[in-house]
Amino acid sequence: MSFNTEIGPEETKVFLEEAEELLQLLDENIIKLENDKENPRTIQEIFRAAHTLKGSSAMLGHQRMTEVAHAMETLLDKLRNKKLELNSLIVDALLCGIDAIKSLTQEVVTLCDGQTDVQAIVNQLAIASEKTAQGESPSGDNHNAGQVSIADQGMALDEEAQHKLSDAVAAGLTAYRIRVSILPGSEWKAVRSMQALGALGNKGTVVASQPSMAEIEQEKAGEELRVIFCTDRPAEEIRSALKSISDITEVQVTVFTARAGQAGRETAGENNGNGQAQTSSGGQGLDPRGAADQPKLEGLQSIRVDVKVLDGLMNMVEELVIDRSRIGLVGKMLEGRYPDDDLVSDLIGTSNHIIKVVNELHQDIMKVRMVPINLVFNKLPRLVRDLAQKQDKSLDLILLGGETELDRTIIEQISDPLIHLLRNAVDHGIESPAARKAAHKPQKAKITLTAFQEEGHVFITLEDDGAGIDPQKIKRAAVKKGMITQEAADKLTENEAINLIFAAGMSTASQVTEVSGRGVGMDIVRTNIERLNGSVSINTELGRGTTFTIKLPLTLAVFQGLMVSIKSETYIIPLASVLETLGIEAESISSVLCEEVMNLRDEIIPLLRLDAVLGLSDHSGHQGKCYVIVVKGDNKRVGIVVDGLMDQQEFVIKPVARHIGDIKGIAGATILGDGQVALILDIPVLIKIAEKSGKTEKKVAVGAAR
Amino acid sequence: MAKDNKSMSETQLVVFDLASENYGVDISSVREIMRMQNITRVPGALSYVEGVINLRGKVLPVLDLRKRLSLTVAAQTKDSRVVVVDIAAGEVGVIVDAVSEVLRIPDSSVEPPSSMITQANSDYLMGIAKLTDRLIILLDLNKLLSTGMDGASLAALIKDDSILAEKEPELAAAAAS
Repeated sequence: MSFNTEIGPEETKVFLEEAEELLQLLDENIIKLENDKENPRTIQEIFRAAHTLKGSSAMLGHQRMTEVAHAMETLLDKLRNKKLELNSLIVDALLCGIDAIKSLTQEVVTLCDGQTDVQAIVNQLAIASEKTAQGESPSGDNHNAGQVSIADQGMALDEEAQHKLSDAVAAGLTAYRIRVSILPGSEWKAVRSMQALGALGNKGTVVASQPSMAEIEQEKAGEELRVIFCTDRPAEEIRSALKSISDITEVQVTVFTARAGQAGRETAGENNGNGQAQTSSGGQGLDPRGAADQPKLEGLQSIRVDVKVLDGLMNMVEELVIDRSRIGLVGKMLEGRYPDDDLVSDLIGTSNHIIKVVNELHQDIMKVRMVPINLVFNKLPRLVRDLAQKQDKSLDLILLGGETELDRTIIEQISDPLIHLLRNAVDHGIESPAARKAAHKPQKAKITLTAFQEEGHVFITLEDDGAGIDPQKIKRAAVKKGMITQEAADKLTENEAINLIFAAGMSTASQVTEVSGRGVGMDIVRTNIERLNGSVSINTELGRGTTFTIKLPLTLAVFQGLMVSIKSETYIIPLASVLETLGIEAESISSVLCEEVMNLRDEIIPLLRLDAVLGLSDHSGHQGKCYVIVVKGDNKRVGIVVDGLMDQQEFVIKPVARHIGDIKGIAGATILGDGQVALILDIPVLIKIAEKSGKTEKKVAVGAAR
Repeated sequence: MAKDNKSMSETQLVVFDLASENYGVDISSVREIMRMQNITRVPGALSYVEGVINLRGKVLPVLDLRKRLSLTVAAQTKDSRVVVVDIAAGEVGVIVDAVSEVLRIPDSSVEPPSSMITQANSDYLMGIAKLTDRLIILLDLNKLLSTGMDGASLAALIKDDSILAEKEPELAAAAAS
């Protein structure tokens, strides 16, 4: 291995973190570029990432990685300078390069040579950069040499304008950058633009405008007018002069520094429609300008923190939260015992303050752990692209609401189910192009992934415009696999049939492919989501497409729960699965086929005795008053019989060691205010256990899926 | 100083009582010793698992060592203690009758168990320390807690659904009652 041995573990760690980020960025941007070929900013970002990778790998002495990065950089440089036209050959070569670098970074960890054939990748990149270069005319090299664009304005200054600008600045005038918004509905955009330029002309010198005067005269005015303007008048005067023109809705006046004018950056892609902007984005002089594009240091208000440190902090705060409840409880007890003691009231005052601070601390630490779901979303375009290509399907993946934040642990655990659903959508949902054509659908399919926050939950919807799910097909598959009998299948409603896809062992794909069809997926998807205290539902229309809706709590560490007592033990039921609670007399429990059920507003709800399901000893029948908690889980509604309802509050969830036995139906534990441990029930699993034991099978069918 | 290395090396033990016998575990695996507190039962746990307790905000499984070693079950007394030990699977508490002392014993005093023990599943016995006035049974907690009563590996036990299947008739009977 040709690594520089003087590099310490700390540097290696930094390198790996950086490399991971850069690779992710490359992945995203290359896919982005494929859909938006003309975006010079994206190319620039890719180039910079590849360049940084080259530099840091060279520093580490990882020569093979440097070679790949260098080949990528060479190719990207040609793209950047418009010597190459982007095509799929290039994109494939670049993606291969990224994959190679990914596996090469692994070598840094394992410290042994991997199987990556660097030479082949480098050749592929070289071929991609040579092949397409042929026949390219070396045009566009010199004619725009004198042009400089204005940062963020997408506006180019030609030589004449630059002279004007530098003369005016030399004469002691101030240069302003002005943005005028014209009422979108206005029929007089050209007139208003001209009026604005005229008004400015009275107060100083218009250096350049976009659209230019000539364009405005040709009625090419839009809703926005951008001007570089030199004057000795104050900005406020200019603003009010412009504001007085009718149809002008907004005026922004900012000082335009000469330095920025000379070192202007490449234009943003948003102005592609403008000829001027396009010519200025290519060509030379990009390298010295690159520095201007770096984010300023003072703009960075965040620091990098090791996740372990964060988790440690979280654990400590959780302990504080538990102690908080305990302190509050002890304080109250002391107050009852010594109502007139000054020291006690002093203690209670202090403990109230501690409680408040701990609450705030808890809130804040939870916020720190929130990360945008983009961390998951960003991986998806590449995945979908590869998948679609493999299956010769053509589709757009639209990602919305990526900034929606969720607790880190949820983000980590939602990734796999989401990828699975997405794969299913591409694999089964989307039809082949031929089938789509036959169905008079656009050949290019569409998958939309949306995340949003509502009512203290995060929703993720996955919508495709594919074939939809055929309930009959599901029924046939279920019967064929012996999951249900033909009679049972006939009785199922469409909705119930569709929900069978979540059952274990279900797959309707006629062929098992590399990606899906093994019949393990959806079952696990739902289990994983329910384990996160979330739920997943499905809505499908044959021939039109399918929508999956995932509902997730914002955080896992804390949840709302209902404290109940069963015999002398205390259990917690997550409020997320509770539909309602009822106080009933034991006599009102009736029995159907030896199974306990109750009548809830003319609906038969099967009842579950926890002591029986959990295998607690001594489960004599209840007498007198008891409570029924109606819960939903595993797509069923069941009533859980408990002896007492105690309290509803926030609980911190703690894992229960798995090595102490075959513990099922328990999601975790929590520590109560009095220091006691109480177990949290895992409702979906409990229902499954009850069902498996044969106890509730018939009843569950009665109360199934509504 | 002509003694060889073997007789020089020593082990420090935490010694505790269990059914009027002396047991010892390596002190490096002992985290702390606690008084008894209320234990929350965990349904489905192994028979010798008493339940879980709160160890400063952590949920700690607690085992009854008497049950684990198939000794007669006795009521807890004020001397009963929970010894918190660190094993491969994580931290666990074990209930013992009393903790008596911390002792340093020379390794040379330890005899392997095979010659004395006839029981089949005794691989959790590391040996017997023969001191002048008594014997101390040395336990390998890792083996003790990672192996089921019948010698079946716990990992396999957790994976195996047949446990649940076995319970089914029982559950059904319970449901019918």
